[in-house]
Amino acid sequence: MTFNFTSLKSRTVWIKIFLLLTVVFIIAPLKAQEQEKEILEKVSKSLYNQVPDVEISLPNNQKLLLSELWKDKPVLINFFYRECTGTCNPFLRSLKTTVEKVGGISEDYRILSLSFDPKDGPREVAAMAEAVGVEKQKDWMFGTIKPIDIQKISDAIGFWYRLDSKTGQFDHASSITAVRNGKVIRVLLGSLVTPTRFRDMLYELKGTFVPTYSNPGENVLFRCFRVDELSKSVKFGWGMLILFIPGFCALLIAGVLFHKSSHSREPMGLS
Amino acid sequence: MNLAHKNTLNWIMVTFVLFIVLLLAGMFMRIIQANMFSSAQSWFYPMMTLHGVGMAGLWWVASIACASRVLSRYTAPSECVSRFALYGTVLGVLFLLASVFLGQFAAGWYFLYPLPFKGGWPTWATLSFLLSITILGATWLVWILDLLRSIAKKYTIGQALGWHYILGKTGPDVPPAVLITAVSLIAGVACLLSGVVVLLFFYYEMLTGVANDALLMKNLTFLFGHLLVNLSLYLAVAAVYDVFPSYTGRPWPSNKIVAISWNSVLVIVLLAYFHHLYMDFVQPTYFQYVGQIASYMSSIPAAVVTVFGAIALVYRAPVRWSLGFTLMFFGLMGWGIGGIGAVIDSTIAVNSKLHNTLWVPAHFHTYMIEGLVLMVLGYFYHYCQEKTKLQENLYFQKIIAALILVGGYGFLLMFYLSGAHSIPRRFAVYPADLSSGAQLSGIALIFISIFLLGLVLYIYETGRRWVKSLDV
Ligand code: HEM
Ligand SMILES: [Cu+2]
Repeated sequence: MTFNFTSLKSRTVWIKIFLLLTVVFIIAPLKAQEQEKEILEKVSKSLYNQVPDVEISLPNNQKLLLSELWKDKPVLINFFYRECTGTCNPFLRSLKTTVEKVGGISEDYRILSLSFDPKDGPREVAAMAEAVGVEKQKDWMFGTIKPIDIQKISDAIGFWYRLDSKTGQFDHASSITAVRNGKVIRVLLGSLVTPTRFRDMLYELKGTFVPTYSNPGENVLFRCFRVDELSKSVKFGWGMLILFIPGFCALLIAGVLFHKSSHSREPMGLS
Repeated sequence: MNLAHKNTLNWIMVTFVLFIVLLLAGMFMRIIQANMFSSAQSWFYPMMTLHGVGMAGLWWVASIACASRVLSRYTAPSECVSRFALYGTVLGVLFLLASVFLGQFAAGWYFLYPLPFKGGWPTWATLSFLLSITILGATWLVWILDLLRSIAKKYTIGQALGWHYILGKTGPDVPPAVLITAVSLIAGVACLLSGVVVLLFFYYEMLTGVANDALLMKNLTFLFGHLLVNLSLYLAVAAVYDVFPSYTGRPWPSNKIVAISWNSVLVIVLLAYFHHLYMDFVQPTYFQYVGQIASYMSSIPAAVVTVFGAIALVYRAPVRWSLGFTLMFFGLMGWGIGGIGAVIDSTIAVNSKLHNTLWVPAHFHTYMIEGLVLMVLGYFYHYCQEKTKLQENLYFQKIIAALILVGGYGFLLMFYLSGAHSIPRRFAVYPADLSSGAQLSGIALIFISIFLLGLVLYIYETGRRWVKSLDV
């Protein structure tokens, strides 16, 4: 060995490297974790809350109840206000891009964008829909609700907002809340809606259940069990037998290999 | 340079390169779990799959490479087949890389049915993954059949399995390496065949859309996976049995106890895998009991006999603790320690608590990193050292071993602690109420860095001999 890495000089280098690693690997996760924790706490607080069934006014002055929207498919609710100079616009646009990319709107879900600013009326929300470019999308609705209902819904779905008296702007969350049958299933926080997270949310909404065991009557290749419909008794199927094939074949193959070589084998004397 | 030597050097190089790459994938997972680098979160599961399949496959081929080199002292395995196995393995790995990196295939290392069809990645990624496993499985089947053939050419089946020892005879002499390898190879055929059956079912479903029985698929998958991992260990143990005497100056021959314990492995190792299905309520209950008993019976006798044998061999022997011997010795001990963790987890009453917590990765990483990996790395060093006889700086080598051991066990401790805190396995990001998981991941990263440093120094130390032995 040539390099001397136990000398004093290189020892201090080792110590420095170690300290650096400590900072990077312990302090950084702690920091990130705190943020993450805060977000997760906010998000999980509203899970399974019942969303109040309030009345919505659409730009064409049509009125309907929220429950009419979630009656046959889930609805993704988010809040905005027309005058927002902050995240509302980019947020809705990124939602639009993601929806186009992921698909499934109308078949699997609806989107409802509600204004939380009492100053917004039918005209303002229609303008917002147009600005985002989804005014023709039938299952993406923009609407307003009564001021007292705004508070009720935001509490239920984990949304918050606060008027900043200096700027006249609202400070507010950017979030989408997925509601199925009136219950909060998932909340996505953050001003950018990425396709991956959005897709996750849809899976969860659909409650996609991956069947882990086939149902009787389904077309399945080899079953471990058969259920006798008449007697309701459970019997072994061919599948159980297949389980033994690898082990059995291995012994067979080994037997054949050793047997076939027996002719050419040199005799082994006692040694 | 003869072909046998060239083959071994090639396997050593492949092992070093793949180990570093796959280790970095493991490190990447810990980084994500520590809540750092969150923009790469979506790569967690593809990397988990690459790391898991890659490591399991890598150490399986590495241990066969060791066993086949040891075997060639007694029998004549075909070196052309070994070369073929190398090409097949590389080809299989390319398909694996394509499916993971280009297709983000992420069904985990045992690709449990029906997940490969339901994960949301493109169908071609699933196909590429299945092809990869097919190529690997077929190649390895040819390889181990050839090794088995070479044993059969010299020994009868009774001799190879040491039955004459069990009957009380003392000759003919059959080296333990041959006995253990024979046991492992026969079980290995069963292992790869069950892999073949699973793959056929997957392809059949892809072509016809006819579903498979999930319970059958899971049973076959774990017959394959459990055996693959266990047999890798046995093959490495066989190599260690063979080289230990040259360090301790004492013989380590076969005898009745060695023969009985390894024959019991052959009889029941095929049944131990049931411990992977404890949570499957549709599995017949008596299989579960068989699983627990077989887990105990297939691991305890062989491990106890080997570990105590090794300690007795070393006790007060004038051993030179060179890098090769040190790693192999600690490898055997790590196998024992990890084995205890495994036996604990294969106990039904305990498994119902620990199932799918990080305890599971904890125990299998113990016998992998501190067992299998050390034994193989020790053997590779031993091999290159034997060829070159370079002077050894034992002080430097002890530091390498210490780094690897401290880094490895520290990393493992974080897995065990997480398991004890009910932190689930296979979580990319831990929810807020399990935030200690992220903290432990951060600490684990320090130890991984130490391990990595030790590994790099090890590769330097062995690599020098590797290069020099090119001219031998
Ligand atoms: C220092 C080296 C290693 C590091 C840092 C590492 C890290 C990890 C991590 C973080 C996981 C995911 C645990 C979880 O479920 O949350 C994992 C899983 C796994 N590792 Fe390692 N590992 C290392 C070495 C090995 C070795 C040597 C083997 C095998 C021979 C191995 C085989 C596996 C397997 C099979 C899985 C399970 C993958 C799955 O759940 O599909 N690892 N490893
Ligand atoms: Cu197992």
